[in-house]
Amino acid sequence: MMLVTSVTAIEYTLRSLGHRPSVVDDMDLWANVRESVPKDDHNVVVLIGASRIQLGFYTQAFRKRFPNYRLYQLAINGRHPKLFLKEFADDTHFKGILVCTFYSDSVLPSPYNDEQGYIDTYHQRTSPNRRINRNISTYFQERMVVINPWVRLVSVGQSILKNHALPSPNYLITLPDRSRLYDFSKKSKKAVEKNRKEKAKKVTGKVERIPVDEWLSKAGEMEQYVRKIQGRGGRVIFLHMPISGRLLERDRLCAPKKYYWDQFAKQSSAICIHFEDVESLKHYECPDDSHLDQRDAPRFTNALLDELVKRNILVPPLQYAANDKKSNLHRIKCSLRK
Amino acid sequence: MTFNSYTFFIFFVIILGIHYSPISWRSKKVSLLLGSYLFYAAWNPPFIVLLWISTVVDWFLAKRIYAAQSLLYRRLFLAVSLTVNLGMLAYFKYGEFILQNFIDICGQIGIRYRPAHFSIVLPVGISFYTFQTLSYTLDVYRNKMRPWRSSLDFALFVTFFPQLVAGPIVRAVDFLPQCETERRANSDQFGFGLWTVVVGLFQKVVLADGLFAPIVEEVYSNRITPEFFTAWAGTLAFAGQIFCDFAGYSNCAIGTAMCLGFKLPENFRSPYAAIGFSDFWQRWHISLSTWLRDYLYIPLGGNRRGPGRTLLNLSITMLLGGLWHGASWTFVVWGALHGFYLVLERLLVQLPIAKWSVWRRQVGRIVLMLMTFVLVCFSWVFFRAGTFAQAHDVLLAMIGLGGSSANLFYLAKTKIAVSFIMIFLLMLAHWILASEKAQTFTVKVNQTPWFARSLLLTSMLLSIIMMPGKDRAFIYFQF
Repeated sequence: MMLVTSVTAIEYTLRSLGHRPSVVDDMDLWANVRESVPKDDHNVVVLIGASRIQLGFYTQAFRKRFPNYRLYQLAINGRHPKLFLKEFADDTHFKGILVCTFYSDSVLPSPYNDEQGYIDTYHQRTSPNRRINRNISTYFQERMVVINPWVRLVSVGQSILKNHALPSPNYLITLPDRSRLYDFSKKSKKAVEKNRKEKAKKVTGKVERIPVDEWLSKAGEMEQYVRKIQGRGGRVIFLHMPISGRLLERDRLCAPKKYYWDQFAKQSSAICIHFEDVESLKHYECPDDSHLDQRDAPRFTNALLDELVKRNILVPPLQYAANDKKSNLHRIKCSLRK
Repeated sequence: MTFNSYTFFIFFVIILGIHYSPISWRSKKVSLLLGSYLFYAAWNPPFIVLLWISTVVDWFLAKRIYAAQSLLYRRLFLAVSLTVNLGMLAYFKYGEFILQNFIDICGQIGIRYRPAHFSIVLPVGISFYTFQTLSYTLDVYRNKMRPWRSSLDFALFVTFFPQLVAGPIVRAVDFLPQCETERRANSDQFGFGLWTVVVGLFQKVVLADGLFAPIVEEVYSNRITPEFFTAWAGTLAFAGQIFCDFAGYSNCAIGTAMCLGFKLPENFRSPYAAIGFSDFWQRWHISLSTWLRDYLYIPLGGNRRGPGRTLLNLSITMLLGGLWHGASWTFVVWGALHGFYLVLERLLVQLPIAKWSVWRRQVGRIVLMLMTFVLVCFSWVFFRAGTFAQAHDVLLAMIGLGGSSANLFYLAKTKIAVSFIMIFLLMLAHWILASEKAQTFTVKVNQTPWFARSLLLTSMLLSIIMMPGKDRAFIYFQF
C-alpha cells in the first residue's frame, strides 16, 4: 500500500509539473519495429537516417493521409544511414519505399559506431523473450512518467543538488512507433543556444577536410544498395531535411550544395530531395539550427508528402482505390476474353 | 530471462501458481523442470541440448561409476564424464581463445596460420552448470554419495532455474535430498524469500547499474588515460559494481528458491570486510571457492604434502579459478594475482610481526581490512580492463605514476565523490555485518520492527522503479 501510494503521489506530482510519459528508445525497440516491416509488400514506407527525420517526420500525419501504406520509423538519433541501407538492400523481401536522410557528414565515420549493434540485435534475437519484455516495457513507459529515465532517481538527485528543484519537464518525447516530438518551448534558451554553437562545429567541421571527389566517391558507395532495392521494385529516396541558421551557413561553406548534393543527386539512381530545392520545404526555422519543433513537424510532413505524391512515389488512397479498381476490372476483362 | 525483467515476473507468478496448486509433488517437480527449460530457452533455445547432454551423461555415468567393480572402470567412467563436460566447456568457452593463442604462437615462430573465421556463441551459464553436474559425478566417484534414484530429481538439480545461469553452484548432496519431500514455504519463509529478491534487485538495478556502472564505463571504456583520482574512482566503482551485481543475482536466486521452499547456499558474506585473502575467499563467491577447494585444491594434495607443494597447489587452484571466469589472459592474471596474495599471506603469517597484538585490536583489524581491500582493487583492474595496455595505464595511474595532468579530474568531481562515498558505505556495512558474526543484510533487516522493514522495502522498490536505464546483463552471465 505504501508503495502504491508513493508511486501515485510521485506520478501525480510529475504530471502536474508538466512531465509526460516517454518510451525509451533502445536496440530492442528498434529491432521490434524492424521485425514488423512486412515482407514482399510495395505499400510499405520505411524511414532511416538520424534524429532530424525522427523528430521532423510526423508519423500521425502520414497515417491519416495514407492509410493504404504502412509506415515504419527506423531512424536513430546520431547514426549514419549506410549500414541500414545495406541491411534493407540485403533483405530480398523488402520491396517498399525507403526514405533515407542524407547530409554532407553522412559519409564520415559514425560518431556512435554502434549501427551494426542494432542490426545484430534484429538478426540475432533467437528467442521471443526480449521482444515480449520490450513490448511490456513500452506498454508501461507510454503510460507512466515515474519510469521515465528523465526523472530517474540519479537525475532527480543531481537536479535537486544543483538547481534546488526537480528536473524541468522533458522536451523530448519518444512514441511507441519510435517517432519523437521535440518541444523547444520547454527547453531553456541558453541550452538551445549552446547546442546551436556545438552542433555547427561538430557536424560540418570535419567535412571541409574531405575533397569533393572523395566525398562523391564515398557517397556513391550507396548506389549499389539503391540498385538492389530498386531492382526488385522498391524505391529509394534520399532526403536532406531542413537545417537553418549557423549550421546551414557552415554547411553551405564547407559542402556547397552545387558541388556536393547536386553532384550526388546527378550520379544516384534514387530520387533525391533537398529541402532547398522545394519551395514548400525551404522556409522552416529549426530552433537549434538542426531539428524541427514539434509544432512545425506536421506542416513539414504534409509538405513533404505532397512532394512525394507529385513525384509519383506515394499514391493517395482514393487514387489508389481507383487504380486498384481499374486493375481489377482489367483483370476481369482479360479473364473473360480468355 | 533475467530477474530484473517483466517476463521473469510473469514467469515466476505462473510458476508459483502451479507450485502452490493442489497437484502431486511429482507434477510440481515436472512443472519446475519444464519452467527451468523455458527460463534457459529465453536466451537461446538450441542450447537446451547442452543441458540435456550434461544431464544424461552424468546421470548414466554416475550409475556406472557406482556399479563398477574395478578402480580402472571407475576411473574410465569418470574420465568420460570429465571429457564430455569439460570438453563442452572448452569448446564453447575457450575455443576461440585457444585458436587465437595458437595463431599467435605460430606467428611468433614464423608460421603464418590463417584458419577460416568462425565465431562461437557462449551458452549462458555453462561454467556454472558444468561445475554443478561434475560435483555429482565426483561425489559418487569419491563415495560421498550414492547415485540418486530419481532421474527427474537429478534433471531438476542440473536445471533448477533460480541458480541455473549464475549460481550459487549447488552441490548434489545439498539439493537432491530436498527433492524427496514436497517443498512449501510457510508465510515467514515466503516473505523472507520475497524480501531477499527485492534486496537483490536493489543491489543490481540501483547500485550496480544505476550508480556504479556509468562511472566504470566512463573510465574503462574511454581512450583517455586516466589520472590518479579517475583511475581510483573507476576501480572503486567497479569493486562496488561487481559485488552488487553478483551478490544481487545470488540474492535473487536464493530468494526465488526460498519462495518455492528450496534452500540454496549462501554465496557472499560481507567480502569487503575480509582480513587477508584466505578470509576474502571464504566470503566471496563462496560456492565457487569451496568447489575449487574440494574438487581441485584437495585432490592436488592440499596442504598435506609440505609447505612448498601447498603454495604451488594454491597458485594452480587460483590460476584455474581465474581462467574459469573467462577466456582471456587478463582473467588468468587476476587469478594468478590472487594466488600470489594467498601465498604471500601464508608466508607472512609465519613471521614474528604477524604475532603482534596490534593486529587483534580494532585499529589493527581495520588497517588489515583496508590493505586487503586495496590489493583486491588492484586485482579488479585486470578483471575489468579489456586489454593489458589498459590495465597497465590504470594501475600506473592508481599508484600516481601515469595519466596526464591535462586529464586531471577527467571524471566529474561528483562522480568521483559518489564512487568514494558509496564504497565507504559499502565497506562500513560489510564491517558491521562481519563483526556480528555470519549475519547477512537480509537476515539483519528481517529482525527489525515491521514498520521499519516496510519503509525500507517501499524505498527500495521505489528506487528500483525510478532507476530505469540501459539494460545491462548480469556480469557473471558471461562466465
